[in-house]
Amino acid sequence: MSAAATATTTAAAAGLVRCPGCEKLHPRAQVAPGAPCGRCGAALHHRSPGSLQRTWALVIAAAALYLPANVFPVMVIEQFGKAEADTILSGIEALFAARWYPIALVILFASILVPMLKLVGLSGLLLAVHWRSHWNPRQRTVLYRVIEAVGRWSMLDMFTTSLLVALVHLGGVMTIEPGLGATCFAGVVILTMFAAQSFDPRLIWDAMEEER
Amino acid sequence: MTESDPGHGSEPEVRQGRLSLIWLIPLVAVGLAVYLGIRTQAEKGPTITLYFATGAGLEEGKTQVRFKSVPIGVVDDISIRMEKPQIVVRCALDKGAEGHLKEGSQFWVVRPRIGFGGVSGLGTLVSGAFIAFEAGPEDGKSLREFTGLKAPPISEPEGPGLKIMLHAPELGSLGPGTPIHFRQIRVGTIEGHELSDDGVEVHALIDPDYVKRVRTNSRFWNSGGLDVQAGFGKIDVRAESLEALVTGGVSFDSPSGGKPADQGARFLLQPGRAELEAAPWLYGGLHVVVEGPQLGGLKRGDFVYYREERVGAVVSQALSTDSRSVRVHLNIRSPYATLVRDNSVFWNASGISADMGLRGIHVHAESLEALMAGGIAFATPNKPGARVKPGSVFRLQPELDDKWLKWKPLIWRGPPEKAPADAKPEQEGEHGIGRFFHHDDKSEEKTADDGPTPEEHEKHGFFHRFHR
Repeated sequence: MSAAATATTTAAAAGLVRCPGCEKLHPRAQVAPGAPCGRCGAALHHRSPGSLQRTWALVIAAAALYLPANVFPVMVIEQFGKAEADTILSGIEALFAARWYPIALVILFASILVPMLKLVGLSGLLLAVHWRSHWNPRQRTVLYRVIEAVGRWSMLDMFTTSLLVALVHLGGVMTIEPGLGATCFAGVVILTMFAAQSFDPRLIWDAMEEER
Repeated sequence: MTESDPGHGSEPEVRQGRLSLIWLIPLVAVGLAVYLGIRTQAEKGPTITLYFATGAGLEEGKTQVRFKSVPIGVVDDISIRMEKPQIVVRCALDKGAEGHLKEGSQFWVVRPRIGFGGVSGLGTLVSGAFIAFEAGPEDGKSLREFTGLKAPPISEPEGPGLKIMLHAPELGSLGPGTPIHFRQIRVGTIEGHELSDDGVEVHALIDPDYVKRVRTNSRFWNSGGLDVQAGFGKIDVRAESLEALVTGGVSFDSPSGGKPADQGARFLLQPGRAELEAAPWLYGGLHVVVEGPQLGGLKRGDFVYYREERVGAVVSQALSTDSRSVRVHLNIRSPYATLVRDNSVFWNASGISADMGLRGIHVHAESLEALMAGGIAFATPNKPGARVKPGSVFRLQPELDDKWLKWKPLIWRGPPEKAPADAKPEQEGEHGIGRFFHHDDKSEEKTADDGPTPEEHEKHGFFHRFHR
């Protein structure tokens, strides 16, 4: 699997630092960490500073919130004075029971699977970097891209909830209020998005470089 | 600025041992999660088990348990118990309910009830049923299992207002929510009823604002429906209120005197106003028994006339124990009790109607009202005898003797009157105040005879004030 790695010369191997803004390569020896790019002024780093640490912190925070997000109700629907609280899971269950399979699957995917995938995936990537794993770096990069791309879709739930909360204010007839679960869930989604962003995928390959 | 081996891949920036501020985020997140978990656990109240005869309207996870309409818990699980058979409902309650789950706590399912008397539990029509909870006494034994009531309890314990019991021979059209009126103002409601050995006990709740109106001598009657009094040339139709007409109702009045009624006081519920006038045990009138060979059309509620004036009513009639005569129990209202003397004669005022066509003069002699409605009339000789004891028995004269009608005994029932003679008499029975004495023949009634009782004095005084 090191074929891909060995086939190319990396910037790091060549002693260069790539500007994150304009892709200009700077000789590493001449650039202090955090110094501005000569062309566009972006801060130059060999690797994103504190990337691992930050990603770990955000992933742990997200994981901590994942539990209450699923235990507490996301939405409290008050109909004629009778409050009905639904958690994410009970909502999906209700949708399945009502045979609205497509919607149920979308919510199941966006609200349960995606956050879990992000948490587990990011943790896996981080551990792999820690252990300097050589295992499938390419696949891991693909995984990272998927995680980063798919993350925002979890906000679907939040959008639905916030729209309903804002729109449905029918006084005594029906009111929808966000539950504690919604706050936690929003926290999970935001934190995992930041976590995915702060992870520097170049770290995946550094272990490969070391080998040479 | 490190000149480390580029291939090394472990830049100090990445792997520095220093803890970054970023770790505050997971710290806060974990703290939040732990706090939420602890709080939830701490708020978790007791779980109770209820047994109901029916599970209609109950839903797992949706049906609430409410205490005075405030949700305090939710139904967790509904299962069935075949051996009884019953519905077993497990409810998770809030922590606050913990101390109130004592022996004697009551649970019942509130479903919508719609009746003439009003609509209750309307909210449950759309929101579904809920389980209502009423805490038991504080010093009771702590319990976690309760048997649900089939119907709402008769009165919520310790509710504000005055709770009274009305005893009636039968329920009539009364039911929960039936209004109670005092001078046609709604002052309370019927809460429920239960059977007793000799009738029905109706539980009533008087609103706190009107508690003072119920006195120990208050008189209650069933005011539902129409009260039609057909007299000659006049039909008097009274209905307590349109509401009472449709829904049925209970009314009461409180004669002067009497102390405020106690909680749980017991009253007799008269079937109607006419019966009320005839109820000696409430009215404080004179109880007189008239014995005759036959009833002659007399019935409960018929009036007793003295000089064609209504002075009392027939309370009941019954065959005597030896079956040789009928006994008619009369109540002479207290202002008129003194008119009955041991030498008074009683005759059936409706009995002469048979001779009406032939003996026209007698038709004029007895009031047409009495002829139509039936009743008993009495007269006292010019020399009145001694006053009679309650329960005295008189013979019902078979035939009217004209000379009785000419008797004009002088019996004072109050001080000589100065009020205008045309003062309209009060509605009978209202406030327990007697009428004015009618001045049919003033000249012969000027000497004092029988001093009025202090009670009568008071009533007259009140009446004068009332009409000035």
